[in-house]
Amino acid sequence: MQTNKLSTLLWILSTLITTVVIMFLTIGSGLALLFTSCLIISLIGWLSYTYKKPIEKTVISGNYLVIIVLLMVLYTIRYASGFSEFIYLNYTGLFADGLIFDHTNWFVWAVCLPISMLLFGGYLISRNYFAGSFFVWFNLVYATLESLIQMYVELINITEYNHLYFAGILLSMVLFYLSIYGILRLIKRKQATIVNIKLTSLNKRQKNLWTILFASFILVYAITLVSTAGKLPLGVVVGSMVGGLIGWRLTTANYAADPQKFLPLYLLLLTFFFIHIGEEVLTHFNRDIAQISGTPWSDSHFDYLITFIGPIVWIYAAYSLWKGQAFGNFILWFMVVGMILGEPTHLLVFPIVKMAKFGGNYEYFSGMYTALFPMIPAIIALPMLIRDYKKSKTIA
Amino acid sequence: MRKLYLFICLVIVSSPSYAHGFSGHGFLQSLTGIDHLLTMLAIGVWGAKIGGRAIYLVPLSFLTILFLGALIGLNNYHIQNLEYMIVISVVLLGIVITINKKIYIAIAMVGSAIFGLIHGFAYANELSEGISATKHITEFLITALGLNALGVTGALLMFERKRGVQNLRILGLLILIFGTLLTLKLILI
Repeated sequence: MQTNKLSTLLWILSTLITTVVIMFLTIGSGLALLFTSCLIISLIGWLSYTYKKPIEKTVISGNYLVIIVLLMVLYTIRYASGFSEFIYLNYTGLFADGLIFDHTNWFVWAVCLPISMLLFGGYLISRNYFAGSFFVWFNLVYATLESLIQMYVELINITEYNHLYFAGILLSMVLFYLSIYGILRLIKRKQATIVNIKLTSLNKRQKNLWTILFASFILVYAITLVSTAGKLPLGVVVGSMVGGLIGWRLTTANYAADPQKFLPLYLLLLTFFFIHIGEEVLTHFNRDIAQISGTPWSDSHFDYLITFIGPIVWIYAAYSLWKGQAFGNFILWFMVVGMILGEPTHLLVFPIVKMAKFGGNYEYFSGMYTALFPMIPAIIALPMLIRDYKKSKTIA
Repeated sequence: MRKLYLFICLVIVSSPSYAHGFSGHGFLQSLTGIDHLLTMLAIGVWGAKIGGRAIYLVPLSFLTILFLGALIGLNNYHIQNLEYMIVISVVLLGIVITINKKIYIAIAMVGSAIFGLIHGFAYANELSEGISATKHITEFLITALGLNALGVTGALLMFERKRGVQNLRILGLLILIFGTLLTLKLILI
């Protein structure tokens, strides 16, 4: 056994076993059981089929990202139909004694943790790291188990559960099909065909149409945000969007960003950003902002806009970036600008506004501890984007 | 493209799609109510599908009468069965986007004006207490404009692709199916 392979295996095992133990002690046996099953099946698959010959990133990246998007959609449906409350009330044995399994706990452990892990796995795959192959298995097995759980809960509790047009079951079927198909492809793997993504540049008309489309999107998003959250977050988000639009229009609208270079950075950025969202949910960012802006921002509006619909769009953008599409390239710019301009506000603007308004000392503001981490890949990506554009322009 | 359709469908089903918005006022209604959202987008798509001057005339006619409808609605005029008219407008827009028939600009303008009137009435009726009417109208007109523009540009970008027309018709079919589901829900519940 090669040392680097053994080292990767040991890292994965120790990290995941520790996670499962913490999960078991904090939340209870239910989620721990899900993770343990997923870990065991993924390990068996990985060691049996892909350990000796890792999977090429060009073959799996697209499907891997689509499954994460679908999982996020499934979680959104679960949120809308009150899945976590239902499980908590009807399957009490799955939870630790004395635990109150509210939305915050559910989001942090059952959404934020697996999605962050999968996004980080995507980063490893797109960088061709050896551990990436394990995450391909983990992604597929996790999606299979989640889809089975959804089907089980909905079908067993046909009258008690809030089915929401059976959207959860329909989505689970799609997810189940995709993940099983993926697993079968991994098992029966033949010589992989390398798919080269063809990057096409936009003509002037397409560029203008995309610009109008993004500008309209910014307009609609801006007025939604100002209504739900007030002017303070609006300045940060819309400022980043406009900055991103200008950056995109000047650079990657002309020559699409190379996904081989930028997808890993973007996925790393998303991983940190999703962890950051987890902190914001845990410490109720919307309530902190409402306190200083004077505009009430309800938990449900915040949850839908920032923790579900937003991430669905950002993660889908990773897929779009992988395909070299304009949408992905714009969102890449938006996220890069947004992380650089927006995230420091957690440390430099919000707590100071709070001090100015209510007095007191410089103290914790929701999201503060994890705000700067997504800036790291963003700061690395920004000069790369500009340099690449200049290089492409010179060649052209 | 198929993945994009899947994505659109899933975002729609994942949204808290109670036909008339889960909360909010003003422009939020057109976002939280899937019927309003689809109508606004579909008006833009319809204009783009006809092409030429219809690209701006169809949304313009919709927005103008939307404004007038809201003004009339604010003066305590009421339309019977407004809910039905709204969901039927989604169905009809789904049909006109799906069918492959040439529609005259004038007819499309009249059609979009009727839809605008219905939705304008609905917005006025949904005005919450304590909210300024001017602010309310301004807010939803801006959102409507943004969504119309998204529909137009989205459809024009689709035409840039191979099989763009067919894809647009599939999109129309999805709107039609969703509108039918909303209508059935309204009839049955």
